[in-house]
Amino acid sequence: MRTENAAETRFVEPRVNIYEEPERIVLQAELPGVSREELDIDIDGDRLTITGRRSPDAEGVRMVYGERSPFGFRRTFILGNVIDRGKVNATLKDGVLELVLGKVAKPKARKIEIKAG
Amino acid sequence: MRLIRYRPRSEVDPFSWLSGFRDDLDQFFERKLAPWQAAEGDLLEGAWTPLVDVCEDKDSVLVRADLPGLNKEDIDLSILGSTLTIKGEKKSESEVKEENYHRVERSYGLFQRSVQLPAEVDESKVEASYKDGVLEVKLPKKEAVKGKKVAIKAGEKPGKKGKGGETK
Repeated sequence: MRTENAAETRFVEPRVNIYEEPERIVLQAELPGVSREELDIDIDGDRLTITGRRSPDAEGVRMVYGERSPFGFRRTFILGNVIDRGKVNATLKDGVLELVLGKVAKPKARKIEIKAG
Repeated sequence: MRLIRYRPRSEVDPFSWLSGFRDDLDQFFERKLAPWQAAEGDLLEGAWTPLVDVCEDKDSVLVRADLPGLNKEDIDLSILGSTLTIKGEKKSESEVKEENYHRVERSYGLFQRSVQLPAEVDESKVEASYKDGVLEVKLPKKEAVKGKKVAIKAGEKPGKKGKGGETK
């Protein structure tokens, strides 16, 4: 994990598609210009955060016209109980991150013992 | 700098006046959104327009376009005069039933962007690469437009010869 200065770093939210299959949930995020080394995926409790940084331009280059975001990407998702935290796989190809989130095999029923008053 | 944005449906789109109205509102509230923030604009225009940067250094013009999730083979580049045109198609990579989607924010389909280049370029030396979903086009400037250095002579005013100035 990198450290960062919150005041210096701004992010935009990447566009995502999320779809569900019987065994898994698939999240695709568009992160153009982000390489594998510049991408962080963190799971903290029920929060999954994607952070992507873009390397800055070379020196001596003059911007004539700029539409692309000068900032990195960040977005947080809340994971439901159906997702198995140990079954998360990520691939990054052509600026698209695909996160495959495996579902919990079967929610285990927990017996709650009732104490006698 | 002039950029031509391709809007195939704007002339027939009955809601195109809405985007103009939005511009008026933005001006009224002085909160004009940057292109990468104004994602909903694409929905009004009915077309997908990739975001483009145009940069230059002393030797070349550099054009970058955000094209995440494309195949290199589906991007078509052409230059006519000082206009660079990027077009292609973004195909959906997965066959998913609509009801299984929780969120659909990504755009698919045909796109076309034309960019006016800030200098004359040598068409035969253009290089393009596609990496991490970004198309990068490097267009070397023509020798003639790189800017020749003009030497300034001392002690001589041009066009004022014979009016008291020294003549060599």
